[in-house]
Amino acid sequence: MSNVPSTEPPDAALLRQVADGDRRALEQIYSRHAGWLLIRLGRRCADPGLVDEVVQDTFVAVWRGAGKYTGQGEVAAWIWGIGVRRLIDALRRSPRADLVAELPQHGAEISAEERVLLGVQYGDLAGALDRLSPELRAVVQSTVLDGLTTAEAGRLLGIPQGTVKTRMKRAREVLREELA
Amino acid sequence: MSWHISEQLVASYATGELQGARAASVEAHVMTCAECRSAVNAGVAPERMRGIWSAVEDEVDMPRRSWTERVLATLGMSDSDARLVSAAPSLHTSWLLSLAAVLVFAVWASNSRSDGTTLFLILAPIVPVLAVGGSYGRGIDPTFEVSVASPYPTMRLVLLRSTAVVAASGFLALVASLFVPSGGDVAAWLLPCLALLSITLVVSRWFTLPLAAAGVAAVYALPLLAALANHRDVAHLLLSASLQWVALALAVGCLALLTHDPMLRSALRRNR
Repeated sequence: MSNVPSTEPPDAALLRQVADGDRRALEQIYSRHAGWLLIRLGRRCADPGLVDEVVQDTFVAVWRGAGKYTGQGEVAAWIWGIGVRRLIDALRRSPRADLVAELPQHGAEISAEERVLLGVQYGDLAGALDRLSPELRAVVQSTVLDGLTTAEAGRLLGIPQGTVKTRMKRAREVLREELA
Repeated sequence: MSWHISEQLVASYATGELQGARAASVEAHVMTCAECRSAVNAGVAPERMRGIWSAVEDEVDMPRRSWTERVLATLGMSDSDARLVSAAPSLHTSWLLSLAAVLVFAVWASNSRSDGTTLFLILAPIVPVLAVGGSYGRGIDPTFEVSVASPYPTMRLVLLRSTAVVAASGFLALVASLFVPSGGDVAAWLLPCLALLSITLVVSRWFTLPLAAAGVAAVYALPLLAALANHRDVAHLLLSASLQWVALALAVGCLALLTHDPMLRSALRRNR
């Protein structure tokens, strides 16, 4: 899991080999992508055992469906799309409220370095996002960043689809005000 | 890309400390940057990675469930029964295709010959019988040795497979019936078929199932075919009410015999 030297085949090429039934290529894809997927899914589901199962399912799905990758866009984003939808399916099968990760909390310590870094990347947007209520921010994160539909976001967060839409609308209004 | 996430930021993201827009920023960047991805990957314990990988390998190695197995499981059969039943050779595509070929031939013959409907009535009931014969037995069933050696009632396996096979091949024959001229008469093969099937199961107590099926099919069909070749009025016999009654009586009698069979009863009691 060290850095990927430029001499190694790119993800898309590996995925083509996986589609041809190359197990070693699948192992390489796994070692490049399973780690961040575990962490990212773990931030959205409080049950590590379930996250492990979902990641397992995801790479079995990658093995069987590697041929469906169109070659457009990042392989990582493609894998994330599979993984987050598998997580939603798993949560639907065992719908327990405690499985959904706690909504992000305010007040985490920010180092000076981070302030500078985020200032460069987002400007006021970072602050504005952080000032959103946890409910609104979770909706923005699921739909904008995780690329989920409102129905999928609702299932992930355990709220009705209509609520996702109204919260998204409210979040957009708050952000527009803050950034104006 | 020259911009990378600082080690400190990666660490606080991996542990879940980092929240809000800063975490979102890391996630967005990680999607597009292989170098930062592997930095984040380092935050997962190697044992966890290995554990999930071996589970992935196991699942990738496992044979995918066949189409038949999935259909049976959807119908409520347990996974183990579904696998045992779907191992029946006469549920394989090649078998079903050859049965379909027999039926297509029979339909073609019945449309092109004056005595064609009679030919169809003779052949249709033996199609499910032959299918049952091809569902279990030494030399036919690839899982035969395994099933003989395992503590599983043979009779239960034979019955489960027969049911599945009759459902599949009977359906084919019924569809074929729709293409035979002379309308309602074509259903006349159903009762004789049921009788032949139950006789086959009874006879299979003394002979192997393939032999029993082949014998019953031959004893039924060969005289009729010979009579047809000699231009006797076989159609009249096949469509007669008395034949239907005889068939019904035979079917009921054989099924009664079967249900008094202690082996069969123990097989039916096994309800798992």
